[in-house]
Amino acid sequence: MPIVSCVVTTLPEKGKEVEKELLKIPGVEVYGGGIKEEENAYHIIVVLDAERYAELEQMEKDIKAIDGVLQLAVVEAHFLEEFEKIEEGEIYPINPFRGLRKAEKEAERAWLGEDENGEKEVH
Amino acid sequence: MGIGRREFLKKSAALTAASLVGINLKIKGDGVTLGESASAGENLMRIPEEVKKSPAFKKEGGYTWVRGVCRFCGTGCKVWLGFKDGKPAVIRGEKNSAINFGFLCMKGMLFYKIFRHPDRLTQPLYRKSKKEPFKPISWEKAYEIIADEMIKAIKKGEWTPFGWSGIAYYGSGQALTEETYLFQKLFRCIGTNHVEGNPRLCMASAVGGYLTSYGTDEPAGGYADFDKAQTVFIIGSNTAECHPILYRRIMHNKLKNPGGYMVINVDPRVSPTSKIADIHMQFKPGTDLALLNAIAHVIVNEGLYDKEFVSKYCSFHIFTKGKDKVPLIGHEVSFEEYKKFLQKYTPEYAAQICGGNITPEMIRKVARRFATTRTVSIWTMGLNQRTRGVWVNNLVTNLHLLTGNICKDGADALSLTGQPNACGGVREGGGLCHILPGHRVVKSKADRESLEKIWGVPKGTIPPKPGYHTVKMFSAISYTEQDRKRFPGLKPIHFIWIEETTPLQSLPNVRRFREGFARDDVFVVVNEIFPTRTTEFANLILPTPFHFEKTGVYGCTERRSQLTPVAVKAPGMCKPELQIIVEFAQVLAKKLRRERDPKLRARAHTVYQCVAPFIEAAKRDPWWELPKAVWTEYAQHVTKGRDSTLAGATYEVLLERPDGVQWPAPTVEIARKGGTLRRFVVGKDPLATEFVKKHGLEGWKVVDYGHLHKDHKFWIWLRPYKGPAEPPDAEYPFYLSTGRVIDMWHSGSMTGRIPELASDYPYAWVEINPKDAQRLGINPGDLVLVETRRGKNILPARISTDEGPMEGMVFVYWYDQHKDRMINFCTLDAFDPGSKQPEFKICACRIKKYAPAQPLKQYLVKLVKVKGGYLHNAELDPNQK
Repeated sequence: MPIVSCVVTTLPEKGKEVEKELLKIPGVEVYGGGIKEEENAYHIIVVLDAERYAELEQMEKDIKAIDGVLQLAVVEAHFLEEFEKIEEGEIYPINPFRGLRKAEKEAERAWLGEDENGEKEVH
Repeated sequence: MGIGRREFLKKSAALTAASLVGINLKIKGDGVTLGESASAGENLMRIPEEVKKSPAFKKEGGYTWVRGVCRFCGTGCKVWLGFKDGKPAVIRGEKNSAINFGFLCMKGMLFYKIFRHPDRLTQPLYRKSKKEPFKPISWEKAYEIIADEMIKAIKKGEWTPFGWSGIAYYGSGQALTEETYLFQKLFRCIGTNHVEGNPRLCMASAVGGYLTSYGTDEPAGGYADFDKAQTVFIIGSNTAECHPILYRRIMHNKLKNPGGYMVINVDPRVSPTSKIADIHMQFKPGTDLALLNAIAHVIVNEGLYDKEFVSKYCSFHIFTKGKDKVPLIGHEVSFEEYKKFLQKYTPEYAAQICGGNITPEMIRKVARRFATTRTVSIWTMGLNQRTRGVWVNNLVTNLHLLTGNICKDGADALSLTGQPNACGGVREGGGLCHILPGHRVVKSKADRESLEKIWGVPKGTIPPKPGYHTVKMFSAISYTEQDRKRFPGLKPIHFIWIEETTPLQSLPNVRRFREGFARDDVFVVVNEIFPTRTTEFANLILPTPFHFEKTGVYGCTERRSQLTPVAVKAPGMCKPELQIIVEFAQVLAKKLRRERDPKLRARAHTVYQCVAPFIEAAKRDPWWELPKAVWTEYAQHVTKGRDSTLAGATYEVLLERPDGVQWPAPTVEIARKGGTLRRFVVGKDPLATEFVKKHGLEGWKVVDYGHLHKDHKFWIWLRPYKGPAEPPDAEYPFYLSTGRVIDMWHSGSMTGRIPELASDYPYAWVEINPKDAQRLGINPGDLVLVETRRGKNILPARISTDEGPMEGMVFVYWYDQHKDRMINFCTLDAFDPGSKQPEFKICACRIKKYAPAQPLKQYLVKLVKVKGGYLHNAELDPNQK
């Protein structure tokens, strides 16, 4: 369940309208925004809260499609839960090498056959 | 994850974002209990003690953080990777970085998905014949096999001026500097200059451009120039998609000063980059040499050039075939001769050649703007992947030299790199057949000898002639009659070691190379993290760690080197490449010692000596100590005294700096301050300051100390307009061009495995201009047959009135691994005579509607369990071969 904070940069005159449009996109939380006169831009701080990254992609597309949006830049992304699912193999197909632990161990043993000088034996 | 924890993370992430742009949020990040943690399981952190004591490590907000650099383009964004209870949990941009200022792109935040991906290769796999399944073997056995096969291939070949003809190494702009450096060192010590890498496909023309214009490789300025510029001239680069963080910086400046900051986009295709352009110059592919000469024509004829800069710091050169011996030098001509040369390129003449929307008035307007404002030019593959790539690089730099738009704030000719380490690793680390580390060249006896001395190997170890460049190297593997005819005297290659790249998808006209690799008389070793279109033809696949799973340096576009320390344990039996090289070299040395041929036997000691300084470090700690030892040799000995010196950029300094070090950085003191932002400027570049003193060049404010330029001046080149190698004709009436899409990285072997990205871009498509589509009766989504003289693709059509190619041109992305959609079956392997970079960007094709729209599926190369081992899915499916 990734959480991603972003800065959405818009044309200054479109900032408020974009904020309203952002609120309509499921999973997009608007934390605040403001015009930066010296930059001639309006920055909106949003957090994308999704079950899966796939939803983030859709949110990104929806945000970029709003009139006046110039860019969306990522600042911080939290992904621990999703990483754990990958690690546990819950999300993707099983690793084809997972059944080869035995072969791995044998190979490791073979590798550890060092002589007393620490040099590998050449067979 | 509980609501409290989740809300806390959101608030904290929002506050981090707000702090970067100076927005005050009415929330606080505290007051929430951190009630949850990672589930029990293996602690995946592997952080060296030295890193833990450095500024590249911190504990904050309940996370353990390690700082490194992103690896998904050549920008060099600095990132923090956060761990929770020993597991990767969060990625954050480094706000103190002068590159990304805390921002990242969507692609950059995804690399965590690769760490424990189930398709990761985790043990060495071997098969004697490419018709057999792979079987798992031990590392020791793998080394034995590689050494035996390598010696066999050496004996099958012969000794030549470039060394042993039968063996080759092919590396990558994604390999770490230490890896490229040590791989090329090993192959030179074995006795061959058959050392190449994929930057030949992306950067070689830029190298040729800088070498001829400056007498030395790499740019004078950097990204900071975007902030002081008044004009950004973007040519042959879709910056918005390929370098989004740099695009953000340009856009930021444009917004801040909409009337004063002009963006000029020069591209036959309307891309997302065109969105912020004040002027979009759309021209027929391959005609930009005429366009750039016409801009120079206006600048010179209207007297807009910087007379003082040109007369004091520039000279004019031309290469005449048959008259001049060295293409890099040519011969000098006068300013008057240059002016005469330009007279042909009137704006009217150029507009006629260029077509598109180019008008004489537009050329004049752009020329005047270029000459009268501080201008930064940026470019990528649109200029480099061309049969006249070096020339067109020269012509952009010419404009900067003519107008004095160089060596000052806000002005530079900056070639952007596509890969994270094409500059640092391959260009600086000696990863091409004609160059040696530290900006040395193979042909120079002094350069070879200085390196041999540093390495402690006998004089004459490095063969005196360059090996084969990429197209020639792979032709020496396919070795057909056609190849032998094309390259007279070509000698076959029987063994190749490929590091971290997939040439059998990325090479142009790839079918003929794939046919060669399928033969059993070519032994192929591939270091990889995933199965690819290249591992399909391997005899031996070696599993290696991913980014942050090993330690090393990347050097990005602007001469900037940055360190990524190991932080995550690699899966299975993966070994870092440096350890593989050190262990393998010892096995090879022992075998060579037993050879009867004295020439071969003599190499045993050299090969051992190549890795001897690293053997102990490899045994003690291959994850940190070993790369540190290799970097120390490279930076403090090999680059010392060279223009690309990183002698002061020790691992300690690189850990300290939030944005690395730009060379020249001859001392630790200079490196600690970030190195040299502006090259060639007296008082700002320590080498320039020393150079003018040494040569008595009083009053010189800038100096070109490039080793090829004995007059110490920048060179303006006379380069005539020449069209592409294969222009459209009656039979193949369209231009075919290729490139990259924002969420996919190169061949898609990594990003294609992130299902969410793949679902967005499951397959490639062909972009067609609406007028052409209408004429040919092609609707959006229809399957289109794209044919060239070399091959065909069947691709869904994308037709847009907002973006896309000009009329008469189609554009295809090259990440798709499906046989029917691998566009490099169609591209052309003609190459630039100087840089040897192939012309991916232009060839002739024809298109027609093939079938109505239908559902398509993503195709990814995978290993499948079969009786007796593993085979690639393509090997089981004749339709995918």
